[in-house]
Amino acid sequence: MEIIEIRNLSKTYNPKTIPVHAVNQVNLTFKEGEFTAIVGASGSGKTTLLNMIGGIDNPSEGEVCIASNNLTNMSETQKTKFRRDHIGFVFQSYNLLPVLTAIENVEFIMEMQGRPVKERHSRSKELLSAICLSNRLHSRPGKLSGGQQQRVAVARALAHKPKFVIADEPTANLDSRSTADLLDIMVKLNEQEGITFIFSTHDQRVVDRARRVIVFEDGSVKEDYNK
Amino acid sequence: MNQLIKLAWRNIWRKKRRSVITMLSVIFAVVISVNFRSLQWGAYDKMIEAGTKNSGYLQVQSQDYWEDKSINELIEDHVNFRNQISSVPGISSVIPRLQNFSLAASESSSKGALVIGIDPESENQYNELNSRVIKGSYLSENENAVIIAEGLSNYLKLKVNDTLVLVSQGYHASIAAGKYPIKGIVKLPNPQMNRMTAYLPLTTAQAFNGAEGLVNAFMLNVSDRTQVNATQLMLQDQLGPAYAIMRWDEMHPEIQKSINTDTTIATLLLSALYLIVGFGIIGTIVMMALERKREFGMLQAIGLQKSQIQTVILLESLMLGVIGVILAWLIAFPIVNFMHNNPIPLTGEGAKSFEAMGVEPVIQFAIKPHLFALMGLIIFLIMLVASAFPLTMIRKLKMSEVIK
Repeated sequence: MEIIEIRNLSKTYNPKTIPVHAVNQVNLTFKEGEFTAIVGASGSGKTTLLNMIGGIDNPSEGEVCIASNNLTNMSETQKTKFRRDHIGFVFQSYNLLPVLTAIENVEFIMEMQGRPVKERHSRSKELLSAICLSNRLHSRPGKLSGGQQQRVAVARALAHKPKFVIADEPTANLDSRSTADLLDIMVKLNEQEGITFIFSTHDQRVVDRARRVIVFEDGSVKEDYNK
Repeated sequence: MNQLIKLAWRNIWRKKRRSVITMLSVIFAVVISVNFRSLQWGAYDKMIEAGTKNSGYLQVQSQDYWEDKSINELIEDHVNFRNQISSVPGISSVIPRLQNFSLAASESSSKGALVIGIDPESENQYNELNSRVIKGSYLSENENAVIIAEGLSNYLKLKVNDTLVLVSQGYHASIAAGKYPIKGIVKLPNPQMNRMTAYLPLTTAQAFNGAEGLVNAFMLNVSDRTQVNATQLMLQDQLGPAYAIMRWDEMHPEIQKSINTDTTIATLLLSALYLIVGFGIIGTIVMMALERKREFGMLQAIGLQKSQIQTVILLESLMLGVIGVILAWLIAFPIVNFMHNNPIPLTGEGAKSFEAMGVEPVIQFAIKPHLFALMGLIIFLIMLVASAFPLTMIRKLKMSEVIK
């Protein structure tokens, strides 16, 4: 079943002066449960594409539909609520809240959604256990390694059971060991929970684990294949 | 909301040193300003107290009395009328007075004097005139005797048991003349009054002036000085337009003017202080906001509305302000309270200048809850102004430009 549909999506910066076409007339669909890597050189438009899929950036043309909801037509407030309820984000720089502990970071979105305490606790513990951080529930990000922080970020992205997770270069700041651990965890969660993952990456190790690879070049899809 | 409060609370302790410095600047500003203004209000209270001891906080007079202060503009002194005045909420005592200027004379000299007819008991209850008797004794009701101020007695070279001769124009141009044994000599704090005042029992003064059953004014004491305006209006309403109700600040415009001038200077000084502290706070909050741009973008990306992020920032500013203000109150109150209960007596030239104005020569702080509240409110407003930058920044924030 298709979960994301992108039609004629374009993003042009400086349209009135020197136009830069970061994303140019892209058409893509993503199915539920896919584990997709978008690869390409720096400046190829991967992040811009992911930002538009996640409703973080607005397209200049075209539209993004997620589970039949047209993101392009939503107001800022609607989009924020939609992101909160249906999309998970993993950032390159982890972006955990430094003042919250690991478990509090994971619970954060669920708490904003108004989920009951019991449900939040059990879901957070379950996820932190799945990513092998049961012993660091009450550690703040400053006390965790980069790899551990990124695992917490993955748990946070998955906690509210989103329709899909967008991960923008999630392994860029990690060493080989942490990268391998993180990928193992994401593959496991993808398989166990059926959550769709879309990555942007330069990292061949991530590409190797992806089941679908989209090669991006100059804002357009150059290749799109399943492994 | 609990989550946002928790986040804001933890955020303010994220950079402990910065938050502590911000709070210390708030504490410094509030403690200094509360103490400074309490000191000034203590002095104002002394000035007002000195002025109103001789006039009351309110006075009921004949409509035309204040203009000429003529002995012909009198009002009747009935028990019913006094009861009518007393029935107005906020009035705690009604003190009748009949005063007139006279020529006071001894065997050897004479001098213009202010002769005040008083009800000895109610007058003493209000301004403790009895405690100012330095020789002889205080007056009793209806007796044919006088007490005179120390300066007047010195000028006329009169002492207790000597006779004072008073001559004046009485009510409706009658000739007022009388001889009164001096029962006591009082030392009045106001030097001018100390040079020219003589007190007669009210009935004796009425007989002297040919104004039986009449008074110039009723001095009124009030239970709450801050409600004087409201009491004045209620009283005017109760007594009707035939009577003038004067407030203390209308009877002593010089005191009010002096307070206003002093308050203006204090406002300028404190504005400079708050401006300096305010810029410090604004700088801190702007820095904090700029450092957290990416975090704000991330919060919006994962689903916090901009209004929720703005709430966190506003809460952080207010928490810093509230903690600072509460600590400042906890420091300032004991100081103000101590200085209120333990006034510092002035000596030398300082004391003389206070005495020259008829004001008790002491430094005493006033406890004014509104000062504490006002200084807290100023900090609250500074915090709101300081939050304006991060709030605007968040409103204009473009997530895609700040997160990675």
